[in-house]
Amino acid sequence: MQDKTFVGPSWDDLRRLLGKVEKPARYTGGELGAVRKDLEAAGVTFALAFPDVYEVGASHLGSQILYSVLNSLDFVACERVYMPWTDMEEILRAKGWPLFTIESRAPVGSFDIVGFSLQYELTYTNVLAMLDLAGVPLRSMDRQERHPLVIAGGPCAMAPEPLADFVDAFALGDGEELVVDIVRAYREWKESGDRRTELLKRLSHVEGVYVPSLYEVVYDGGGARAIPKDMDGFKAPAAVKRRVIKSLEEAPYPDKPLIPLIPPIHDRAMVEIFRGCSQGCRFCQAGMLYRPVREREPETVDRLARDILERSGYDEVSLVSLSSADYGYIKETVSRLLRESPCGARVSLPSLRVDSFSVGLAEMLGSSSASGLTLAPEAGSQRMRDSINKRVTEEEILEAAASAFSAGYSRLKLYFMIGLPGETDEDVLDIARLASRIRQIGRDKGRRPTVVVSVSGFVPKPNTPFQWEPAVLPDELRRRQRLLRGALRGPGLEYRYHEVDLTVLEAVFARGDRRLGAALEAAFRKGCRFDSWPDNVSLQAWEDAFSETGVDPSYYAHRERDKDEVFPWDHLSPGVRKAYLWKEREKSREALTTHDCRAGRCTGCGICVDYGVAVRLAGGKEGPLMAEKVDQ
Amino acid sequence: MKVRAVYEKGDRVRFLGHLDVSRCIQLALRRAKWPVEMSQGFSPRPKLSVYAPLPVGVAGLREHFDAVLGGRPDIGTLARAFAVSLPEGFVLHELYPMGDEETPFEESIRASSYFVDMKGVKRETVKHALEAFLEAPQVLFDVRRPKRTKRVDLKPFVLGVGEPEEADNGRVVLDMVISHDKGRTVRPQWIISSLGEFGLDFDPREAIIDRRKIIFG
Repeated sequence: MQDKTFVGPSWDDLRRLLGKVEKPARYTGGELGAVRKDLEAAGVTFALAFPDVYEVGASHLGSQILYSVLNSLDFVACERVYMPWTDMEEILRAKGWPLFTIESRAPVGSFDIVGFSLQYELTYTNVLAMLDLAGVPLRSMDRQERHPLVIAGGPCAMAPEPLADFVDAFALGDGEELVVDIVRAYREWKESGDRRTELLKRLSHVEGVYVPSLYEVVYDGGGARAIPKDMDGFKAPAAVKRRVIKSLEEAPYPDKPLIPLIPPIHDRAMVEIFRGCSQGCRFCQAGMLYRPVREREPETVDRLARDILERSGYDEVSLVSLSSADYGYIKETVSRLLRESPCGARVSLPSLRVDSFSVGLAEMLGSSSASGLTLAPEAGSQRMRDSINKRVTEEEILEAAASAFSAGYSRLKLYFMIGLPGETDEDVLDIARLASRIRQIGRDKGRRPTVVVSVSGFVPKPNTPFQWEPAVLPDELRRRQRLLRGALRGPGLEYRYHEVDLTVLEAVFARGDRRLGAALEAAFRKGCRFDSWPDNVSLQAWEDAFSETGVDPSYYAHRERDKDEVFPWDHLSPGVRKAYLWKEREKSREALTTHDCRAGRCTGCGICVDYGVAVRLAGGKEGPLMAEKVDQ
Repeated sequence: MKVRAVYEKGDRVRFLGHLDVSRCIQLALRRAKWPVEMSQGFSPRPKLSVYAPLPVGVAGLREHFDAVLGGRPDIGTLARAFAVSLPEGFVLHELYPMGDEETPFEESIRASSYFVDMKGVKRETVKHALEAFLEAPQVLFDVRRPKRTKRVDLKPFVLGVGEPEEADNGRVVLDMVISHDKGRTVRPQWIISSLGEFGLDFDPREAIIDRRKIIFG
């Protein structure tokens, strides 16, 4: 049906040009664990695309899982492609070479499916650049049968409208089973010889797949309602539910980890110990999107860790989750791994709570007291911490700091956000006061402490209780930054902050609708790439793109939404109910906290009831499906 | 027990830097379960010395590293385990035990022999440029580092340059021998780059360069 070639640039041609680019090994593949199948013979070819540089993409566990799942299917050949850095893009364009996969140097445009992972909004111009470099028409409506099916998953796929014109189908939720259903549906369509529109219709009936071209969007006031089009009697589902795997225990896990030849940003073995988080932090999108909590059994964690350490040669394994200290068997698992793992491997926990238990864990891990300890109180005042449901008291924070100093740490890094809903200057100044108290504790413990205060601007995210809230205006955010910086002067206090302009750009696209697509394409045409890289982003180009396409960024970033506004992502169900999110938003205004449901008391978010999945804790404990018994 | 490995950093991994190569070797050693001893102190490191760094882009056909092992494991077993643990592009050629009294590697190395492959240039142009290079009393070259630029005279480092030859696909190939002096050496790319002063219009970053061997003295 399709005239495709999998022959890209020859190795000899490529190697004579790679000397001109930064980090050429980004493009040469050959990693341990890389899979090369016969692309010509495969029933379905899949290019797994990550719209950021190799070192970032190669660290992404989700992509590794999908790579492994796809290549485990005998009819699928999956290869990877990452966004080339700007120097390599120049070479590709100058030579007229198509974007190629790193396993076979095969042109991405020749694959049946190109699947992007959308981890953050500021990679969207890279998605367009990769499509363009691959020779794939940017807009779905311009693609024909010979072009790849362009799909995208990841957290941003739950609010994907800015990309709706460019992506044929979005994959919502856990990918392990969903991606298999997608390639099967694709194979059936390919064998049928039907038109491309039939493929899209077929996909729209796969649970967890959203095909934006099958919906029209009606803009009404501030709202954007997506309605299935009537296509000669065919209608896509009015709402698309996120896919949720019931148990992580039975979920596939890469048995042959990919070991890059150059260090990726997380250069260690990784084992996901649980998925989901029920801490309920109101700013946290991942905490709402990946519910319910599903833990792996400690024996499985142990086995996977040993296997991966042995096969990779790594001397460190990271027990990955959204809040690793919450894992039911964390101490036992860590201590067993430290005691029995091959060659005395180290264990790391990427996300710790702010409490003495976590500091104790860090101490147990033998974290280098020279490198310091990172804690995330997120807000300086108790009122703000209660408001965002970061259920930690100042006493606990100070205790954690005291434990850290006692354990030999002298450098503490503290993460905070400013610009949170309801924040006052006093709340901002409380960040400085808290940091000073922590410094004093360090001094009292006989240390010469350094307290690093790292501050980012808050971005309201879809599918969180703060999705109705405006982002603080850039000038105001800068004023608060200055206020904090002024209060943080003194020995032993360091202040770091994120670029305000990037925060605004992220806030625009996080809650964007389909009308943003024109601005996105204009920005891409003006050369915008790697917008999350402060040295690389071109704010002038973005300003021009917004202005030329008639988009007011403030409408998306700085507007407070009404309670009943229909959001551009409302037809995509994350599992957590909108009514629950609103209730949480109201509680945040009164600084009322909501407990963690992990202990068994349901908070009524809706995921277990609506999706028929339960919280699964290690040790065979299964949380009840708590429909009726909602404990406030 | 100290062992020396002679290995190949092949064509497919030529774009790895020295630290990347060291990391690949360390990972492969752990996969091969070599009992590499660790240094003492606050931050223990494996007792591993990967010698004579090659720049990004340059392959090496006979490179060397030493490792200090606990006990006296069988060399054949070590070699087999390591050979299958290496990523594609690396090859183990030799492995042998080292005596305690050996001259330190960096002191014993005298020169490196390189093979240079250039595409899109005329043999005569290369030949004339090389002749002019060799006749010049000195050839100063600016080595640009992120924080400073250092000027170095390339001439004393060039011990020999072979006659350029034409090869298939419009390539011109040549050999050159570059000295090492107490750890100081120059890169063959710098020499190719300096030929620009003598009439060779060629981007040195497009040269394919292999270190064929290290010459000990």
